[in-house]
Amino acid sequence: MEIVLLFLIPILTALFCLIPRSIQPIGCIQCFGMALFCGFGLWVIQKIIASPNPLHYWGNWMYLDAISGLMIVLICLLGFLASIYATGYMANEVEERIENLWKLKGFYGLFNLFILTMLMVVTTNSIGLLWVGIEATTLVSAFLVGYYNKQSNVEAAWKYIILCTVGIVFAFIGIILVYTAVTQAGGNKALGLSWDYLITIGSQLNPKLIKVAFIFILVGYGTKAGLAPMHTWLPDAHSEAPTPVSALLSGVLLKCALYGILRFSMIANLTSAVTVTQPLLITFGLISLIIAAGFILVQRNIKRLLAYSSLEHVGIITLGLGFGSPLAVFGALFHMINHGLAKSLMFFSAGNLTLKYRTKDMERVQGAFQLMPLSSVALLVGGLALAGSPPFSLFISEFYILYGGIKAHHWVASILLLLFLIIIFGGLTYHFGRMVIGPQPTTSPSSQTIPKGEINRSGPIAVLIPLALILLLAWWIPAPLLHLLNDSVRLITGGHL
Amino acid sequence: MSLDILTPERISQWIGFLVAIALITGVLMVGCRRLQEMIRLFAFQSFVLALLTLLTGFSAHSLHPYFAAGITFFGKCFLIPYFLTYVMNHVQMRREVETVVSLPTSMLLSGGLIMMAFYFSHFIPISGTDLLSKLLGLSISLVLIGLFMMMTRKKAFTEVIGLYLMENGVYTLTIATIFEMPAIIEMGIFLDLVIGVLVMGVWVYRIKQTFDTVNIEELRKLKG
Repeated sequence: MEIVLLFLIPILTALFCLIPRSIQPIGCIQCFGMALFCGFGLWVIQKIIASPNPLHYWGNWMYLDAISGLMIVLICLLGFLASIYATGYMANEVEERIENLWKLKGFYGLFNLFILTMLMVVTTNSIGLLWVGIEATTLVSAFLVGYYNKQSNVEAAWKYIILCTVGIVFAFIGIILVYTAVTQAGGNKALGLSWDYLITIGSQLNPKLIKVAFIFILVGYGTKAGLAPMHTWLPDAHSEAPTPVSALLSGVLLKCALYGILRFSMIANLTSAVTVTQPLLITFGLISLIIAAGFILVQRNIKRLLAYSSLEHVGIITLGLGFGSPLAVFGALFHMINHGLAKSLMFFSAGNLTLKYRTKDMERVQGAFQLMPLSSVALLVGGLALAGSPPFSLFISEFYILYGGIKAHHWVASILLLLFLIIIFGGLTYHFGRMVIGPQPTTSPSSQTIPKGEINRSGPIAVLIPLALILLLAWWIPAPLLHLLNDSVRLITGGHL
Repeated sequence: MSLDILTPERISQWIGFLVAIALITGVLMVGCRRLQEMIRLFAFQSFVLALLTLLTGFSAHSLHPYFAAGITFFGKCFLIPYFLTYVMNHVQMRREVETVVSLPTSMLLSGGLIMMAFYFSHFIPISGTDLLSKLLGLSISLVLIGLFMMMTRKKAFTEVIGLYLMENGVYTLTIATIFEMPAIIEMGIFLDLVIGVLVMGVWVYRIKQTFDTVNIEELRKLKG
């Protein structure tokens, strides 16, 4: 019942968004719809927590355990925040870059559809449907990436579609190999693609085959998760999409792909393939971290900077999953939520600034503090949080990952992680500090004409909520969330530790 | 008497024959000069794969592969090629294939890829039947050829065809392994493919509109 409603709400919101004839009501409907979505999400999560076993819906097609619960938290929260932000942002864009109201309605339609596909990815019980869901997210979000239809948008969308689809083809080979392993082990063929069944039969699967399958899956979904060196679509897509969508891409979509990898690694870890999965995850995580550090230092475009920072955080999460000790896994899962919040905060405040200055070039966005104090302070503080400084929850989760890595005796990887975190800290504080503090550039004539004040009303609200949340989560994790995190860690590490 | 051609040995021979035809079609697609021929060859290859599915279904005495064969036949021999042709005519691109590597060299290289694929397919521990090892080799070959095509052809449109060649390769793997896969998953995958080709067609069209060409070498503004 509640799950049906959860799926219905994005659809209904999309439909209702088609009705109004002016901009303001559309945004209100969207926000109201997503608030309802959050409410039903909480209901579902409460059910997950209350029941001792994972929930099944619609026969055996839906499977909700604590990990799905965590992902639902992420989708609901960021979907809601992005909707609030979109209300103001898109209204501003209508004045400048969007020709008519139907294009705006199309945006909200695609936005809700995108949320729906991500919801499907995290709730399905079948690895086949998970694949379908992830491909569906690509096809839908490509339209959002290329929404403005300029040359750079079209280029980004095309790269995004082609790279992710090729990646997903490889993931499909992995799925077939897993299925073959099930049939070879004499498993039930009709259930051979279901998570709950794969977990029970996992230890009997042929470890060699699972190793090969896991490599395919990691390359395939890793492309979508933005793991280096398959990440090349990521900075393009994140920088060209409308800002609310960038936040969703970075905050939720990358995690949905990681969720796929995580599920497969859970199965692989039941066999002796665990000797391959963990080093692979650690290696890919480190490569992502290194590449991200390099590009962050030399970046000039603020949205690309944030995209590379997503690459860094995906690397950190992958490292945490690769370390495999309960503490590191806890940190990794907690970091998924934290990064989602911090990254939406950053995209929103950076979006406010770029709307104001009408450029994404960081050289030309300077002295923002004098123009829009709230957004620019949020940008600076959020930048510190993103770089992993206390007192924000990202510090806590990164600390858990590092500590978990050291405790699991991954010395080299842990030291490298620390080193690159420091380098990235330097890079981010340098860039954001220069944008916010300091004088306004007086040389350019355009700066004279920029009026003071925030760009719209919804922008600051959407910025303040995640800021408050990452501060809060550093000191106090709400009991339901803690329950979900602990249960997920038990599910993930229970197999082999 | 009429069932003479469908003894297990004969079926195995037929399968070997069809695998060879599918491989040759793949190589020919790489060597194609005109886009229309490429689409026709794709449709033909899909038809061969549908036949393969039918044969394996017959030898396994299972009804399910017939369903998969039907879907493949309908989707990949008619729906997808029809739409590709539509996009090609609508966008009014030049009908010739533009390539980085010359066509004869491409064909030679894809021959090499096939040899590599069959060699390495022995290392994937899918133990067992003759059918499986043949199909595994074919599958990896087609995936590699598709990837090669995507890397060396200059048009956005040929990238889509290369992608679907890769997809054919993956489908080949499913022929051998997935007999009892629930139909809803198959339908989902099929739907994804069809929607995928629609979406990519739209983007080819938009590339043509915004860049006034479908040459992807023009798509290099975003860097760093």
